[in-house]
Amino acid sequence: MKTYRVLTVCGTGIATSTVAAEKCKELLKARGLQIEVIECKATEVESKLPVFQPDVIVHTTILGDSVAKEVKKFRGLAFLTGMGMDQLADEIAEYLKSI
Amino acid sequence: MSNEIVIGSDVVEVKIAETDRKRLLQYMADKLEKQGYVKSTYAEAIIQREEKFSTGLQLESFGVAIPHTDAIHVNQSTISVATLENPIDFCEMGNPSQKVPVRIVLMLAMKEGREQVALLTKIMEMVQNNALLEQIYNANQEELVQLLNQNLA
Repeated sequence: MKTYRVLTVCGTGIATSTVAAEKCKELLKARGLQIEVIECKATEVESKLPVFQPDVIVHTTILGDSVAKEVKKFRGLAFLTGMGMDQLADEIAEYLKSI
Repeated sequence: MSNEIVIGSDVVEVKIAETDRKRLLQYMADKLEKQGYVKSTYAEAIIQREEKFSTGLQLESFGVAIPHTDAIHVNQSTISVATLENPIDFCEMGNPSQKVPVRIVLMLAMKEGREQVALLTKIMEMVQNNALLEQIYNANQEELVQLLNQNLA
């Protein structure tokens, strides 16, 4: 079974991405996916890409369009507010299954 | 790993009448510094980070902001909480062009973020609980301290 790699990104790599990462992992596992998540700061994204090679990026802070152009990005705010959370997890799961 | 924090009445304040976001952040950060929870660099770091990476969250019927910054500026973990007499606009997290009228501010002073997943998860569970936010917003200072410690500490 393929393990998908998710990179979660927030401003400091401390508070929000940690929570988003846990939620993301939990909900994608519930959708039958094997997931590996790492967290980083917005400023570390480019340096993490070649090392971690994420399948998707889930970000709770703003990321410029030019950042990690080659990786599919999702706004992860729903993992924090709970509003639209299942829908977001569905979208990410669907995308991962399609690649 | 310890998630034990105590939220003291010295960092909790209700119905603050401030109308300016920056002044509010400065005020709350100054209070944390005065009590020794954070370093003198914390206030500036909080304000700059909020400008760059906004933290407003629009929940079901409340706007909440969770300003925070790097652990390097923190001496001892705690959370400073303020309810606002009048909403102050914060930019939405991850979407700064969207304004969120905020009535509850949870200013996080986190010493070691990665070890405090449980606490952060509790915070997010708290803000997702509309009835609890209602209680928090309507609480007096003493009640608010109690509510916070029941739900977070």
